[in-house]
Amino acid sequence: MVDLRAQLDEVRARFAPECAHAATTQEIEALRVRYLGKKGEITLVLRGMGQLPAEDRPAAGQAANEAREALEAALAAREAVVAADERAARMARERIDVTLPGLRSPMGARHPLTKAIDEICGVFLGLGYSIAEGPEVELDRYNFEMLNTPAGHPARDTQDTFYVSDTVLLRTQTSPVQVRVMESTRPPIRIVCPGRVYRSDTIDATHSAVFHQIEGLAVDKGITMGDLVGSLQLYARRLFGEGTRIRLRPHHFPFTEPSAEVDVSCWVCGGKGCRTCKGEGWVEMLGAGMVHPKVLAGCGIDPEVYSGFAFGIGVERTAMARFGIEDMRALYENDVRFLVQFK
Amino acid sequence: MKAPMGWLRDFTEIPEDAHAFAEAMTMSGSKVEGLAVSGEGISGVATGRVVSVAKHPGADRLSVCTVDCGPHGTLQVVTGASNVAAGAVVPVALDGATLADGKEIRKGTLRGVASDGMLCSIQELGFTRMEFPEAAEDGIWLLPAETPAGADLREVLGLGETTVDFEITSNRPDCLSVEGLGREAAATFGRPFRPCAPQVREEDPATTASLAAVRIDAPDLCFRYCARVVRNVKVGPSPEWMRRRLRDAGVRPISNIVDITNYVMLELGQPMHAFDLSFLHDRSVIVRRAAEGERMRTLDGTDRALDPSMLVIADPAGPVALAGVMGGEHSEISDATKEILLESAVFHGIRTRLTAKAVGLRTESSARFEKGLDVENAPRALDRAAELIERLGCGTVCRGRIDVFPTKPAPVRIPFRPARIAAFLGTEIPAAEMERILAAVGCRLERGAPGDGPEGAVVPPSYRADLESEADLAEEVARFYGYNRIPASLRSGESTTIGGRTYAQRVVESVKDAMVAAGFYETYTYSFGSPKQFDRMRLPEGHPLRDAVRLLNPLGEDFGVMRTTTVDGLLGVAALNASRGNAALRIFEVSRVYRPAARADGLPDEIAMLSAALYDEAADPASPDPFLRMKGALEETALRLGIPSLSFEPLEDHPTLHPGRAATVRIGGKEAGFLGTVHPDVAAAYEAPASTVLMSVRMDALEAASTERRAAKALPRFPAVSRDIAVLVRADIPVGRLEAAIRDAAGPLLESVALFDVYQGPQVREGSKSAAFGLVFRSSERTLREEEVQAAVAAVLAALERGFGAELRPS
Ligand SMILES: [Zn+2]
Repeated sequence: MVDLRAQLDEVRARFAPECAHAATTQEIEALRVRYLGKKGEITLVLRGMGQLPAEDRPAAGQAANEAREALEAALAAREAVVAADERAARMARERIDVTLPGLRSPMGARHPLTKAIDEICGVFLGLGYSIAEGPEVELDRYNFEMLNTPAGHPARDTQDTFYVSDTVLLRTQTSPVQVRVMESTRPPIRIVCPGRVYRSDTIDATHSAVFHQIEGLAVDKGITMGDLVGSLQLYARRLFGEGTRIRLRPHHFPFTEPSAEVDVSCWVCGGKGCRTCKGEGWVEMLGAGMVHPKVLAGCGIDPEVYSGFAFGIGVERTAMARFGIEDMRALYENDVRFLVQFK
Repeated sequence: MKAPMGWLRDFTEIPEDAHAFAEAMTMSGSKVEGLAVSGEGISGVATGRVVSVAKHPGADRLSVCTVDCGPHGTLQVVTGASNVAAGAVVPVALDGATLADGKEIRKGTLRGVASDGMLCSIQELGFTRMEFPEAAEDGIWLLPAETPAGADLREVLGLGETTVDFEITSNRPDCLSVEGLGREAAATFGRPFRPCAPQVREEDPATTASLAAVRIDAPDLCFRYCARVVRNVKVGPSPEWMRRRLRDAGVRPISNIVDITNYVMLELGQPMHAFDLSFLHDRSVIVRRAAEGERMRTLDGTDRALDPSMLVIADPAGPVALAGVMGGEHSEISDATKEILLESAVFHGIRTRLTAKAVGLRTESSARFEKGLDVENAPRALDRAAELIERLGCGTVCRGRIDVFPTKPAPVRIPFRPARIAAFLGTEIPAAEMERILAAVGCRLERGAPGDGPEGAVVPPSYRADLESEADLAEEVARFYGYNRIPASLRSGESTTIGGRTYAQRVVESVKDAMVAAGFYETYTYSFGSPKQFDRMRLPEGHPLRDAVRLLNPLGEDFGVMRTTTVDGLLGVAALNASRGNAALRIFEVSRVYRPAARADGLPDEIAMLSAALYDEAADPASPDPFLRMKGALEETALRLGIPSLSFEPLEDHPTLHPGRAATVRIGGKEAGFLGTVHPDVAAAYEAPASTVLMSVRMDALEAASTERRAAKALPRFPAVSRDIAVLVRADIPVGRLEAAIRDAAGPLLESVALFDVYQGPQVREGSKSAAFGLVFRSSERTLREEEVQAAVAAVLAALERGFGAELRPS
């Protein structure tokens, strides 16, 4: 009996430093086999128990179990430490340089003019407007005559027009779309007409022979000039920020009466005066007015019953203002280093 | 229209502060473009009388002048000019003076001789002989001998006046006059308006009617012709006050009679003309259309061919003026003129404009006539000119005037409905305020005539032909009430609309989203271009795309035709980017092409296309062919539109594309566009990279095949079985045909088939290639049995062998 205990103590004494020095999970597993396995040292000691007198066996068994449990506990504790070290070492090896460039599938981008059109149309789509489109190669009738601008009208002089024939031209404005819609649709009408227009302007930093407009039109019973003011105010605030103010100046367009030029308070200086607004505090942004009764009547809409407002916004001007583009030609050159800025 | 503030004050009171004035005028509709103060830049320049001139001791070309500058003392000034002599009165820039170009003048020494200042030329003072015709072209400005010495030059020249430059819209010819702007100012500031009311003494006992005759043969083009005869004319300079006003308004003073006609045109907006009556045959004037082939020499010395669309003022011998545009040389007044016929007439606006355009002569006069002038203004302007002639003492005005006025226009009456105007504006402006505003712009309110309505009618003044309807009255009310006092509302009508994008517009949005996600940048290119593009694109004579919409008046040959394809624009962009060293490019646009067509309304077809181009000059040669990159982008775009598949067929005869690297794109069997590498000759013509791939597909074809419906299918519950097969086939057999054959032969259990490798090279027979496909089989009802899959694969292999002589390769 004493012998067996001594044997167990001797095994435990040998085990302790070995366990403490085990550095890997494999070494721990080897110790487990060597001491606790089927042919392990504890097992071998227990085999000697058969020679003990019967009355000593329970005590011996208990001692052996204690020894086994102690070894198991020591191994488990050691294993936890070693596994943690190993995981730490592995993770250290797995370290990467997070400043390496990302692997991308580069997206392209919409053109800044499309972005401006999307933003402007977005304001009015939310107000129940539809988007109307029409031909760019247009009849004189729709581009001028039905817009209260008959042949010889001085307003035609200011719109240097490209002609295809006596009666066919490249539209100088998107207003003919309004006429086509009014001619074919009964009120209520609420449309915005984005599109490409043409004027024979020499191409330079602020002029292009091809450019884009968005015209808006609302025709219904009871539409007032106050409704026009409110709609434009909303537009200006959505596009240029909540604090934006607008200012209407009386002007003349053949197809609206009353007509106005609309200034927007400068989004750079807020109205104090700067380079963008040429010190005025205001930037001229669009033209607008109440649809001329002759235009309504020409489209078969009774101006005694219906009224409407219309406005026209320059897309290039908006995009240039919005994105700080200084030269309009950049918009039509399509250098990808320019386009990449509008992602 | 330039209006000096002092001249405006003849008609109403206006504020001293020019900026406040400009702001208020702009906000009431007379937009101020700018303010200018004459002589603004000059300071410290006085008049001086030259006492003596001596040679400079050290420089041949310089003189030393002694100049009496009154209170500034007697100065010694060195000058290089040679036109200065003792007794001359000249402008002297004193020590510390500033000249027009900002230059400061300081006392100094010139070649060893002290100089207290500088004698000035007209240019140094910021003027030209346009404004002061009597000044010397070269050398020092010699002022009139009676000019006092030592006076401030600005006072002497009447500088310091502020002139307001107004932008006048085409509907307001009445504002092309100082009086008209004065009326606007009076209404803007609520001050009384003092119209011009000329008084003519008519001191010459002879009657105009006995000395001249006027006949209108074209009453459709000449609405009124008034004339007066002035005798004992003494042509000479006009007084300084008139010259100053003309100068400030931007008109060159010439001589009294011409200056008076210009002065009246600026003041009242009525162009006038003075004929030397002695040169008019039979002392008579006929207003008629020009005869075919008739010619005349205008004041500017140009011989002009006329035609019957043009109105002329003629005497029995021939035309003496191009009506409303320019007078003739023959009857021009000269220093010798003793007797004149003063014309104040109203001509047809549009006709005058077209004539001015046809002869290429747009004058101050035609610019006014073309907007349509007031027939009631003509006799008054004539009287104003006569009054000025009397006041300036440059002739005697004969009694009475000739006034040929064939048809008096009926006055416009607009029912006055103040409540409706207020509602239309969205305001609550009281009727009384409207009446006050309308009266201020010259309208009369009349009550009681039949059809006037309970609140009467507004009769606009004759000079406001633009006031025709209630909306016009609303504008008058609104602009003097204040546009910016109109309360904002967001109601916009009584009924609602749903709005939103149409289906076709949503398809465009999806296409743009898909192309952007595929790495393409959207471009905007011009829709017109050079007709040479068809050659660059290798389109043969007679090719349908050569049939383009042509502009009659393009900006130049390079912008002469509307595009029939987007290829030209895309290749231009590719070339530009390549030339700027951008190594890779992916671009697209959704834009229109224009194809002449026999549409009922005579307009061309405008067809929207999705077009794209790409190149990558830095690509690894082992990377997939850029053609496939473009094809993949199009396929993903189709999926985004709910189009399950597109088909591609070799396209060998597209003139613009590489015959071995191009495909026709079909959607549901119908041709929709093309895709391909650009032909090397085309790439060279554009200087675009040879690897550029182009794509162009009709949007209407994409839209027709697209759907927004997306139905979710339950995910499969049973496992799939995958089998890879590799076959050896002739190298020229398109893999697309192999894939189609596999789909046909595999039966209903085939879930998908995908090509994963194509190999051509030393490992396989010459002239063949190996193609490897991954096949996936699955049943939605059960787990497949091995025999079923084996049977399907066997059927596939048999079909490939039968159809293409394919051999199975171990995979
Ligand atoms: Zn600013």
